[in-house]
Order: sequence, then structure tokens, then C-alpha cells
Amino acid sequence: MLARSANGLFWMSRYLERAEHTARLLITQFEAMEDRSVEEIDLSWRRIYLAMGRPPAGGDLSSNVENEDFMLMDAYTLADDLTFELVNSDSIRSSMYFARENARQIRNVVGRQFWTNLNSAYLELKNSRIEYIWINKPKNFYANQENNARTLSGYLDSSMYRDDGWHFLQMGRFIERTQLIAALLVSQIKVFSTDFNHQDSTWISLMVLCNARLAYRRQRSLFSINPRHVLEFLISDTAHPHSIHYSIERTIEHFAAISTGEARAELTAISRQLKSQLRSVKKNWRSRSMTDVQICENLQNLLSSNRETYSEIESAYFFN
Amino acid sequence: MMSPSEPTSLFSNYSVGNVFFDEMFRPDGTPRNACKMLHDALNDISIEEMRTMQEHAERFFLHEGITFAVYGNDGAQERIIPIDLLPRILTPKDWRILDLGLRQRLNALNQFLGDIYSAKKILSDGIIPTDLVLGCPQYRPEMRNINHPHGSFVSICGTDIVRTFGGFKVLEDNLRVPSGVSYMLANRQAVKSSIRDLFRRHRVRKIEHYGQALRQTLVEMSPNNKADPCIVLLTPGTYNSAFYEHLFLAREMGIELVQGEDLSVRRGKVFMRTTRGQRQVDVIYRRVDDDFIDPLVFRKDSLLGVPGLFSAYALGNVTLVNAPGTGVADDKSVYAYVPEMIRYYLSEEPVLANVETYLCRYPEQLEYVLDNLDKLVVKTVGGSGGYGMLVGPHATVTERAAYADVMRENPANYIAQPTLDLSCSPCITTSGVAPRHVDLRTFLLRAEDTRIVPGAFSRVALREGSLVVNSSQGGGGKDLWVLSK
Repeated sequence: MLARSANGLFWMSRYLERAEHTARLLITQFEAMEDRSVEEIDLSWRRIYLAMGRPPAGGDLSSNVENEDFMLMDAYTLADDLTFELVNSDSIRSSMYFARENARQIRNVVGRQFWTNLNSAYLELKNSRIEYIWINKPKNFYANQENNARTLSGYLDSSMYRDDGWHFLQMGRFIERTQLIAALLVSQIKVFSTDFNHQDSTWISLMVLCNARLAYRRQRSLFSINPRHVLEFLISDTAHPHSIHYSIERTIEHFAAISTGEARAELTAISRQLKSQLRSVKKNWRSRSMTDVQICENLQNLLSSNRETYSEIESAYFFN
Repeated sequence: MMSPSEPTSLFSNYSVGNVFFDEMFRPDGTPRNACKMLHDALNDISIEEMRTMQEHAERFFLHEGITFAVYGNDGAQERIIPIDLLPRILTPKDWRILDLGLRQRLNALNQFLGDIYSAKKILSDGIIPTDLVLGCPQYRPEMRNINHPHGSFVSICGTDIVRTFGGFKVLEDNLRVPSGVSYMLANRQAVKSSIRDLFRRHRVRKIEHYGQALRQTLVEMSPNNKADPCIVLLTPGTYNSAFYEHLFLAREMGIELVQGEDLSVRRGKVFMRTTRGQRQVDVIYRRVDDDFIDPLVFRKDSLLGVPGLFSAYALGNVTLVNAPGTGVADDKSVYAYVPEMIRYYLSEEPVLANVETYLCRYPEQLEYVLDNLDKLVVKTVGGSGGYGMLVGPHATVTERAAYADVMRENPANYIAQPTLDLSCSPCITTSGVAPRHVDLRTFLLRAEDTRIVPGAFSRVALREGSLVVNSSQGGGGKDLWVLSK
């Protein structure tokens, strides 16, 4: 496959994953605004921005947490930033814009139906404004955005030929997912800590963010939520598609499919690096005695290693 | 007299004149035989219904991304080429003439290119002035003695045709990187889904196989008749106004769409950078202009091309389609000599006439043009897209005087033609259905065989009275139905 097309598929898929994730962050946030305390809502915004590694739009969030009006005004500004701001590379519009720009260049690879749906979804988003969303059930709007991104991935799953292009697309999806989940867990721990008093709802919302609520219940059958169990599930479960373990394992599989039959040293190094990431996920979660700080350190190490892996894939395949 | 409440039919206010050939109506206002069924069926549809269908078609274009880029002060904008849903009909007899004439013309033009880049017999025999050809900026001396598979320097040709009361005439031959074929196919798709029943009832010849025909043509152009050649389409990139078409064609043919940076030349061969290493390329359908294909030979500042590409091509290791240097044959001065080329190479009379053309390089013709600027259309010889032309009858005295001054500085750069009585076709406008001027761009393919899909991109001048159909100048398009009987 043409290296530039592979790069386009890889990034298109990353941006779609990111758009879906940001939409889910906002759904959860608007759900929280229905019945949670102002303090918890404020902390949830912090969780989002800390995970993205960027300051909130309009500056620090340390406003008067007792004031409901401030909470609403902040929510309006922050939702606008996370939905429409083009300079915020995590905003839904920005992610969809870049997914579309990548897809536009490889329309001969992705198929007409996928392109038309992506283009329509983007044009609809481009013509929306926060003021209209705000008065028209914002949660529904974000649910639609999440659905759009999922449907688009579904089109690709059901129609794409399983050649190298497909494997690059899947690698993009799972590398992005690993990074999004790892960053979210770090910020969850930093903002709420695993022994936070009013933790149930925040840990439930974390599971919703990782599409894990149902799967967790089925596996654990616990009456109350234990943050350590939630973390363990989201990091090391082997069957949940939004766990870190699952995402790294799929990345390894797709990478193996691409690199089969090639004896390049740099490919062997990438493979070794990915396997080492998987080993560290397995090993570290055998110990439940770690402090929050240690968990965060491990996750951050994983994040750096994962980013490094991407750079190596980039130089081995896209800019070789 | 109709009462205000009575619904108006689509053609109730349509006026047929005697000055221009009307594609649907005879001068007495009755529909032509081939158009009668279409006319009667459309007459049952209200203008509002038609406009709704038109809006749907435009939305279809936008959502499919059938757009072209327009650059202005606020950066690039994606725009659709306006579509007019009322189809234009050609009879089997009309098409037979076009088919015959276009094949004949392309054959002669290819022989001309093969000749001027080798023996130059047509020049030594005095059929065409030598300086006109060798002095043309599009003549590429680098092309001398380079052979092309099947003698096909132009494999992809987009010829513009107009119709007057005197019949079809060739307006220009586009022999470099002609565009528009994707719009022909998109218009057909939009029209088929909007007026499906009407389409079914007419026996319209199919055009959807264009992608296969193009691929087969490119296969036949592979060096040394390689059975399964690696074919790519070279695009200048997303910022090119025809980028949609490049994508569309690559997808239709199932080939890679590459940019200059994806290709490299080693040991006289062209390679494409893939995820599994370098892969040799055999045929390049290039949509990059001559000037930009190879910075080592042509424009040094080109970032769109591939260094060394021309050498690989000259060695016969890769075929460029179309060949570099074909622009000399669609230069507007050389155009005037195409009928002579046909007689010279084929010993036949041209089936399709040219538009009468004055070459301002000759003092007596320049004088005539300057004396009659108010009646003529003046164009630059290397221009395209309707840029830099003067439409004499629509220009002011001051504009004509200013243009004349510029012409006198370099007369050889200009040709002039009488204002054409371009035919009209019914179009949906803001004030109902009204006649608008149309032409048509046909698409020919030539390698071992010559192929022509029975259809065209029929361009429309959407402004009332305008004769400029170019999409870059606000023109639109409509579907052209070639009937099978």
C-alpha cells in the first residue's frame, strides 16, 4: 500500500476514535449536570482538561464552586471549546475535521459510502453552534456525535478489505485508545484519588467514559464500587475493548500482520517494545498495594513508551 | 390567458428564438422529435417540484464532496459545480457525426505530434508555418525522437463542441490534462436518481464504464506491453481545483493516487513508496502540467513533480499519459490548422468543422481583428478556462481600446473568433425555465484502440445571455443523454 495512504488511514482512524471519546466525555458531563453537586461537576471538568493536557478555555477552573450560575456559564464555554474550537485538537469538530481531511486524500481507499457519511457528519457539525445545542437537549447532540463516530468505524469494519490498509487503520484506532484511556485514568486518580469520599458516581462515570459499565457489572457483580477494581478492570481486563490491555494486544496483532515477512531491524524493535508494554500492564496489576502516585507513574511511563512506539512506526512506514 | 391560481407548466413561459439553435425546440416552438417524450413528461412537473429536486441534487453533490476548490482572500473554499437537472438530448445521428469526427480529429492530432517531434514533414511541406509550431511555448524540444506506445501521445482528450444552426463545430481540443469527466458521471447519477422514471423510459446510452475504459487505455500504454502494469494517478494534491476528479478516477480504476513526494527515480526507473518498500511504476496518468512534472528538466522551482521523471520516461521505462509537449497541438493558433492536418495525414475531409479563427500574428488578420473588435471574441493562444479573453460585443469601448493596446504589444499571443451562436437548452432559473447557452465536452481515450463513451459534460452559461460556460467563470453543467434509438 502507498505509504501516504497508510498514514492517512492511520490518522483518520485516530481522529475518529478521539472524536468519539470527546463526545462521550461531554455526554457524561451533561449527565453529571443533571443531578451532581457543583463541586463534582467542577472536578469532572478538571478531569477532562487534565487528561487532554491542556488548560481549560478561559483560564483556571477555581471559581466559586458553590455558585450554580458560574457552573452553568463555565459549562457553556467549556462545552463550546471541546465541541467546536478548531485550535483545540481534541475538540469534536477539530477531530472530525482532521478525520475528514485525511479521508479526503484517501477516498479511493475508504469507499464511497464511508466518505459520504463522514462528510455529511462533518458538514452537519460545522453548521452547528453551541447556542443551538444548549437550548436543544445537548446530551442528545453529543450522543449523536458519538453515534456518528461509531457508525463510521462500523462502516469500515464491515466493508474494508483486510489488507495492510485495514491493519494500519486498526493500529491507529488502538494506539489512540491506549493513550486516551491511560491519560484519562491518570487524571481520574489525580483529581479524585482512589479513596475520595464521594467516589461512587465519579468512578461510575469513568466506566461510562470507557464503555465499561455493563461489562464491569457482569464481571464483578459488586454492590458497591471499588476504585481499585475499576482501575484494574480498565487497565488489565483482556476482553473489554476499551481496556489498555486489550488495546495493546490488538495493536500487537495488527502490527504483526503488517510486518510479517519483513526482516527489518526497526520492525523487530517496535514489536519488542509493544510486547514489553503488554508485559508491564500484566505485571503491575498483580500488585494492588501500589500508591496512587505509583499507579500514575506506571501509566505515564506506558504513555511515553506508547508515543515512542508511534514515532518509530511513523519512521518505519510513513516516512521511510 | 391563465388565471393566477392555475398551476403553470414548466415550459409555459419559455421563449424560443430564431437566433440560436434550441436543443429542445424547433424555431416554431414545437419540441423536436427526440425531445418530445421528455418535454411532455416535464410539462407535468411544476417548477417548484423541479426546484426541490434541484436542491436535492445540489445537496447530493455537497455530501458526496463533488466539489472544486476556489481560492479567494479568505482561503480555499469548497464549492459544487452548479447542476441543471433538465437533461440535454442528442439523437443517435448527432452522436454518429460526433463519434466519427472526434476519432478522426484525435488520430490526426496524434500523427501531428509524432511528426513534429521527429521528421517534421508537415512543416517542411509547408502545411503549417514552422515558426508557429517550433516557437510555441508548449513545444518541448526535449520530446524529440521519443516514441510513444501505439503512437499515442494524447491518450486522454477532452474536446469542446458547440452547436449552431450550421451544425457541430469544434471549439477547442484539450490535449494536456483535460478535466470534467467526473462531473459528467456525477451529473448522470444525480439526474438518474431525481427523474428516474423519465430516464428509464428513454433509451439512454450508458457512460458508467468510463473508469474501466480509462484503465484499459492505461494498461495498453504500458512500456513493452507489460501484462499487469503498476499504474498510478499523479495529482498536484488536495489544493488543486480538480482534486475531487483525481480521487474519483483513482477510485474508479482501483489505482493509487500519488503525489510527487510519493515517487522517486533510481537507475532510470520510477518507484512508489509503499509500506512494504519501493514498487516500480509503469504508467503514470499525470494530472500535473508539463512545467511541473520534473524540476530537473522543466521548472526548477516545482515541488509537485519528481526529479528525474522525464529521464525515466525518455528511456522508455515509464509511460507518461498524456505525453509532455502535447499542448503544442491544442494551442489556439495551431488549432486553426487542424482541418489541414486531417487532410494531410489522413487524406480525408474533416467531419467536424472548426470555428473560424483569425491569427493576429499575421498583420492583415490583426488589422481585421482590431477593426472588428466589437464583433469578435479574442483569446490568448495559451489560455484556458475563459481567463484573459475579451468578449467584444459585451465589452465597453474603453475596455476594447485597452485590450487592443495590449494586443499590439504581442500580436502573436492572440487569436480571434466570431461571437458564436452557441445553442441554447432549457434550464431551471430563478424566474422559471429559460434558455441558456450550452456547449459540450466529450471524452476520448486512445491507445491500441480508440474509445469514446457516449456522453459528455454539457456545460451551461448560467447567467442570462452569457456565452461563457467555464466552471471557473460561474458556469454549471447538465447531463447529456445520447439516445440509442
